[in-house]
Amino acid sequence: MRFLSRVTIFSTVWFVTAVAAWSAEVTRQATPGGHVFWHYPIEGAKRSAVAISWPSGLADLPIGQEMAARVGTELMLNGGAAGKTPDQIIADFEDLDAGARLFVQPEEIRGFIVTPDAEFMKAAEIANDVLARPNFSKNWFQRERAKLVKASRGRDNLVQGIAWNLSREILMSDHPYRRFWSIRPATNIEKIDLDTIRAWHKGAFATDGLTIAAAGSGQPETVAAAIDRALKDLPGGGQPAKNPLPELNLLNKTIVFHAPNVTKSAILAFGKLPPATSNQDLQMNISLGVLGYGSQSRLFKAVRTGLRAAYGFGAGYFDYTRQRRLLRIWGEVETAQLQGALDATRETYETFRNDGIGLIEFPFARRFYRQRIEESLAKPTDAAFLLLESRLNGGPQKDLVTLKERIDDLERGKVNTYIKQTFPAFEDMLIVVVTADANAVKGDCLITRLEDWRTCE
Amino acid sequence: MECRAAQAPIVDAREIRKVLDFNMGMPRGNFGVMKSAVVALLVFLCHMPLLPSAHAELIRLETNTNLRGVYLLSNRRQKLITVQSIFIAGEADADGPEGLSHYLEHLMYWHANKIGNRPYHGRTGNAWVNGLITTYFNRGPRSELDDMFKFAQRLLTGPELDEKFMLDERKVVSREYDFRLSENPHRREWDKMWPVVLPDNSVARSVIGTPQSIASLTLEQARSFHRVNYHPANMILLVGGDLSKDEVTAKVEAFFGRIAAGPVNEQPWRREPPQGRVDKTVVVRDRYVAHPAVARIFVADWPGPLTKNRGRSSNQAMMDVLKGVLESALQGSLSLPLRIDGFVFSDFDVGVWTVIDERAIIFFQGRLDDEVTPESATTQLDMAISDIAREGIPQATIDRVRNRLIRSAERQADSVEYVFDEVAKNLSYGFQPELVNWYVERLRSVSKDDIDFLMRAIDKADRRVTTHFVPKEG
Repeated sequence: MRFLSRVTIFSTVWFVTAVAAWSAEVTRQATPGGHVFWHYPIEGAKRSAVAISWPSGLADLPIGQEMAARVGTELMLNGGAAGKTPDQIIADFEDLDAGARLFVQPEEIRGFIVTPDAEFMKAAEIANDVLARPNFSKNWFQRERAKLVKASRGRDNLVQGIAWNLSREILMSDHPYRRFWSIRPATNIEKIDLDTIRAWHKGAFATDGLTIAAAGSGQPETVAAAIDRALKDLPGGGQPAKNPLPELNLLNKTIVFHAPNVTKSAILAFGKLPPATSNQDLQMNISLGVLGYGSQSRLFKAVRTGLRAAYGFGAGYFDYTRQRRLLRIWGEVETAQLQGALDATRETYETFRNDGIGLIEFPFARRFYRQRIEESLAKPTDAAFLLLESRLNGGPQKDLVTLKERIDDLERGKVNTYIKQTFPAFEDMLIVVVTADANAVKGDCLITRLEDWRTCE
Repeated sequence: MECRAAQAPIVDAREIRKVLDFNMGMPRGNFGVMKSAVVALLVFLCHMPLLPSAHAELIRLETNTNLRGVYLLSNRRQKLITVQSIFIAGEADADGPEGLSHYLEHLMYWHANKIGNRPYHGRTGNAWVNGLITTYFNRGPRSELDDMFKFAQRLLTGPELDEKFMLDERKVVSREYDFRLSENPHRREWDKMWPVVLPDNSVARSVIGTPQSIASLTLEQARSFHRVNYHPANMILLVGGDLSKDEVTAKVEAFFGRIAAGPVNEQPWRREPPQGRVDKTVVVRDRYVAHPAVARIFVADWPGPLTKNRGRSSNQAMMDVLKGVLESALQGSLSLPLRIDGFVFSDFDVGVWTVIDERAIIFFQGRLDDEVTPESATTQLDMAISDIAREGIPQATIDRVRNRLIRSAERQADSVEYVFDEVAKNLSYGFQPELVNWYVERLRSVSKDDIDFLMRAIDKADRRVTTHFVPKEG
């Protein structure tokens, strides 16, 4: 009897502990080394992911040398570290069933590792070698720089490259972030030297001011030790001065870029949305889902299924910085149907903006969005990313935990009010059309060189 | 809807895949007394119905239908259900203008999707064809199960849509061609290399076709391809998610029970290996070539695994290991001599397949480093292959690559996404779907002799076609 009662008590304790251990709470943790991180446990996960954001990005790179940050990250990832050859670094990491990424944006650098818990420390050691002691050898530097030069020149020929580059010329004018995002001019990349990259590295990888998020199977203590290991002896740096992006210039016009040699045509449209830090992502995402995500979306139905003018056509958003978020509509379109596609886009968009999401449409959209979030929250990398974004945007600590419930609570009326109040009118958007046929579409301005956009002002 | 390149690898083992991570996440706790812990564990296990199953596996269902196969990956953590239909039919089984199987795939998606004139479906879906098989899939909650089965069932009936809509779909396919190929000379040339290296074999047909061939496709050709190939005898149904065996069996029988088997596609082209030698190099100057590059296809005589009777599934494991070795940064790889120690290619991809009996195919495409000519890079590639074939691949390298593949496969063994991709790969290679743990066993049985033998065959390949990509100004 005594044995049985012990069994009962013990099993109850175990069960409660088990459930408690996996109750999905975001907790604030600190590593022994003093790094604060946010932790989200995922029941049943087989790996853990850590996502880190450094508040540096371009650090203190000189004007015109913005692309050094891109060369630098590629060089760190590919060129070996801590005196080890690239093959040693790559081979050791590939053995761990782990994954990693490191990428740079103008105002932050983001890195992430996903790894089985048993390999966390080994993965962190390799990550630390790469972050703290990259080899920066001359021949690898020249290779990575040459790759970026070729990529830059290659994009100048592509319809998508032309459309995006032109839009950024207009949106950002001469701001350094424009050169970073457009990866041009290539001549600037050719001038980057290794010393610039070394200096950027020293300034960019600080040990304070970081935002860190972790998700997955790992216990907070395991994660904490790995974070300390990964961030050990980073070069330091400080809080580089940011170069805030001014209000983007939407021009409110349709610019037709005539490129006689291109083989296809495309439409790219941008409009202003509230910044990422406004914490209205739920309303925005469900709205954009209905407008332009997937084969049941309004734009897809209008331009592809209806007009038969495109293979893919849709909408999304793009953050040039956390303060500068844009609605984006994009698709490659049959040249002979460009005008029809543009008209259909305008009409579809304005109907959506004015009338909002339909009564039958809304529950489907909400369900799809919930499913996507539910799936993401089961994956360590996606969950860590969501958590990191939430923290960087100043969301509440429980943001991630209540996400599904808050999606369930979305109401059609409120979402439609949001759409009406925040989605810009089509006439207030920047529309770029790239085509080989100068007469295919009626625009406010026809140009043949990127810099000629100023004639459209 | 999309087409995948003919013979393209369906799963890249090195890719950081976005997978569904599921297993039994047992909490760790220090209870000190082992006896109590064991007892508590036993009692805890009694609570198991409260928590999902620890492991899921692909099982073949015996159903009262004529379907070629029905498989279930039952995973209680996977609340969204996936219903995937794979037809043993692709561009290799078509004749007439190239791109026919892909055009039909587009038509069939819209045809199958048209269920009861519903304005919206509570599921998402897509389709693709890779030249060897055609796949349609849907994902949605349990409430959409009938809708998803209905979609699968409708694939067996010919396309019935507004005729103009169906003819106009060729324009959409042309836009897909533009999207994938018009600014991508590498991808366009890929389609031209196969007929050179595998003449007279329909597996060399272009999956997407050309703008001209797409425009010339007719509805009758599409309907005819459907009549010949889209039968239960050529259809494999995969179901994944939180469903029981009995539930799925009942659904499958309800939707497919009375449909006649139809003729089996025997894929005769698998037994038609090319004969004789070919060695051809083409130079492509194109304004869309940003990085000078080399693409190379080798077709080698290769009778299969050294120990007979190991079957095609062993071939797949060998191919995967060899690909992993060649792309790795280990001794015996191509990366070391060509990318890391030697600066010949700044990056490259390798594919290794066997889709035709007794032939191994290796595809290599790499972008050149500065100051390297395509001719010199091609010579150095051949030398590297010969060196590896002559010296053999170190056992330690094979062990490391094998372990990577095994770890990755075991981790993803109950992921519907991963397992269904593997099944598509199995079927593309020409054998029946198999369990992940069988695949792991195959990987374990791959020997150094197997890999060295395969590598020597590739080195001796008597059919080679090469394309040199050179930028063109203006």
